Amino acid sequence: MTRGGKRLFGFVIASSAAILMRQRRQGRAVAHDSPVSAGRGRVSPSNPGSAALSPRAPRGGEAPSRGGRAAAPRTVVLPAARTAGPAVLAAPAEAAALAAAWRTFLGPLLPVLAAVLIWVIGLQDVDIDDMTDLGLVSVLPVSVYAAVAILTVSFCLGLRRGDTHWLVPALHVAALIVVIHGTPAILYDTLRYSWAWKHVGIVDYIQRHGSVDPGLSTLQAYQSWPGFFALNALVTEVAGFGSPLSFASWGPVFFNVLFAAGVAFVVRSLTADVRLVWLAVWLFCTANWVGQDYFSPQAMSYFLYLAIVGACLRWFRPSAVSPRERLGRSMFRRRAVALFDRIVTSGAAAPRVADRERRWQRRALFAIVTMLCAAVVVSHQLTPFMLILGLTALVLFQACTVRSLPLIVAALTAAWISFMAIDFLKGNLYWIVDSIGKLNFGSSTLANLGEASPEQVFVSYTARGLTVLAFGLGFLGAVRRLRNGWFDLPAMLLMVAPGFMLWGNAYGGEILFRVYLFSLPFLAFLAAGLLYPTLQAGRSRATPVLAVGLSAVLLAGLFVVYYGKERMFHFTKDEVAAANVLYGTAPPGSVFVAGTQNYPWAFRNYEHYHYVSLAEQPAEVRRSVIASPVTGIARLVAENGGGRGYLIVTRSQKAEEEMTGVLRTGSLERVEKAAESSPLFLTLYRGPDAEVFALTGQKAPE
Amino acid sequence: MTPLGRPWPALILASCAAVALSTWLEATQAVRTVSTFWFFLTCPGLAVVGALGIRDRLAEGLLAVALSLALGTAVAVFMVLVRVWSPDAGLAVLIGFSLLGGALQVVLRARGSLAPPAAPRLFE
Repeated sequence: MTRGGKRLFGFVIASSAAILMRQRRQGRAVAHDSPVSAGRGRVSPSNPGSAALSPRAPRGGEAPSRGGRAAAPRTVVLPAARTAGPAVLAAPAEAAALAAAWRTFLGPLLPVLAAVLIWVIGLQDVDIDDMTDLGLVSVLPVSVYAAVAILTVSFCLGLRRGDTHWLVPALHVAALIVVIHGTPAILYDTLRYSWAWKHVGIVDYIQRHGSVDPGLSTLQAYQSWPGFFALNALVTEVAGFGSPLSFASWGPVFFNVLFAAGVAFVVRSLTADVRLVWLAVWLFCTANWVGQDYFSPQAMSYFLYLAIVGACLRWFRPSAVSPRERLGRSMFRRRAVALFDRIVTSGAAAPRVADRERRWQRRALFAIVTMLCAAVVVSHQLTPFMLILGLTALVLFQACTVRSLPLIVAALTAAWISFMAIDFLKGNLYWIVDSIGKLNFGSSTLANLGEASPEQVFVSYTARGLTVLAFGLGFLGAVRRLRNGWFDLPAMLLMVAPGFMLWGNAYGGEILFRVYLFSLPFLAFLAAGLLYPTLQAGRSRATPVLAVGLSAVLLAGLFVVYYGKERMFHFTKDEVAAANVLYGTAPPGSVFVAGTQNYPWAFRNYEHYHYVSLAEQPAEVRRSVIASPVTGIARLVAENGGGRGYLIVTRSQKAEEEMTGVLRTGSLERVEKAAESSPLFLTLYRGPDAEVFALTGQKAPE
Repeated sequence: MTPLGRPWPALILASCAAVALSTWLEATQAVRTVSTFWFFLTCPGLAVVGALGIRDRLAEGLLAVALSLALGTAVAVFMVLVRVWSPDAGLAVLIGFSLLGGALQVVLRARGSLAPPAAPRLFE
């Protein structure tokens, strides 16, 4: 080892020892104040979790009652205090600290380092050109799965140990996020998802114009809810980038880290059991297959949603005084209210481990929450409604004391729509109204399974299975927690509330996925409760085995579903080069015809052009264009503004055609061949993955 | 470390200086990227949240990031709606806000208004 390496190693050891020593001092301090260490609980080094009491647990570690409103010692013994046995205490402080640092911090981190190393080495051998319709799963080497397996086993065993530093599970989660969501960012040379390219286009619009235009017909929703795009335009300019393309590829890693922190914040407000918190975060990461984590307004709004809900659960929970006590003490009234109290509020008020804040602090927190709500309202069209549903459920069932908050969000949403989104509403009111009251259970990506490739059918069924599994685990976890005296009403409310959107909006066939996404943090919490229903439970050897098994199933599903469409979601450099030629050549007013909209589009000067996708044309138009491509495309150009016509055909469009059946297989090949051989088309760009043609001397045939 | 001992005002001051210097003196892209993202993700929110004396680091950090995003969004949307788009002005407003919040924290500490509420810290 070099001198620098030795210094670095020494620094790491010394820092870890210092952290651990500080933690132990704090742990002892807390332990001295704790009712547990004062003699009512038993501290057992061989059974580290035994001293930890739930905030609702009665004295002596007895099982909490069903009602769960026993005297609530709000202190949980820190793990480090529990591990300090007599032998360790007798040793010199530095040696003990080093040993503790190794046992509780550095040692458990070795698997994380090993996993990351294996993952990085494994990525050297990946050739994404060999990808099949199963997505990235078909080309990832065994080492990537080995890395995930190491992380999973190490994380689940660490939960059982119960004496590790909090950074250990946090770094496990971070490593899992980097492995899963960093893999595409490293493997692909360009930004994936065609939607992300459109989002870059809106940022580009704001950078050029310094404003938005909700009257534009193309990508109108983005112009009407510009919060995320305006923020990114500001950041892009300040950071000195030409466009967000420089950093947008890492959006999934960035947002998933934020999501994990948000879920930890929310769940931390629901339970004092640290194992439950981390397992919930882990399960959330392993079951979040929806893919709404890329460079998008919904990703930022979702994080803000978690922050708002977490803040409400943390600082705006009802006090420990029950409605029974508030409403009076007469026998009749007490009995009358008892049932309601038992059903509704027993889980709402209890496990509060919040800071005891002052009045001005609460007012400041309320102002902050309102500010977050406003940011959600101006950034995304769906999240405010999810927020209204969730907050209303909490207020109705007395799990949130700020009764005005849902009304405030509703008023802000109504004001914004009437101010900025009225043009969007005029153009889309027909389908919005049409979907209200109907059960919008269909999905844009679950449709056309009959036309899809067998691999995509498998991916689709795996997604359904994963969703059903997550809801099933959540339900079973809720039942097990209930049987152990924990009525997690706020979590159940927030799990169910997004489901009402199924009757409110089809959201372009995506509402089912969005409902799942908004329910997932609470499903993960309840599912984690299946393994850790109480602070006393979950110490057997079987628990980590079950946790590993559960994680393995969810991760297997996640790899299949989350990576399942990567063959069409990623774009090669050649495709991006073709798109750049298109935008660099076409004059304003031109019409861009493509097979599908699955290619890098609308990312530069997007408002200057008209966009036509064959896949979105009526069936008879599609058929006629594919039958006689040259005349058909000329007609489409004439019908959509009549400017100069361009045709772009890319590998990713063909991949979508083959995978999803959105066009009959071979249609784009036929169109491409016809354009190559027609004198009416001039080839502007020809590469291995894309071709761009200009329609010359066009006149729409009769 | 208690909230009284947390170095938020110094951190805010240093971050504001870093982003201002790297932007307006056109530092290398790497420095500019790190300082910009760090500033936009933490400082405006920390200026407010740091004054509340929240002891839980997770809650404090998460709220600071969320509020930073919200305040950045507010400033950017205001410039877009009023059609006074100026990234330099937007940055200046956020830096001013952050410095004001940092100064407020110093004043609150001097007055003893930031006494930490007693509560367990489960994530430490």
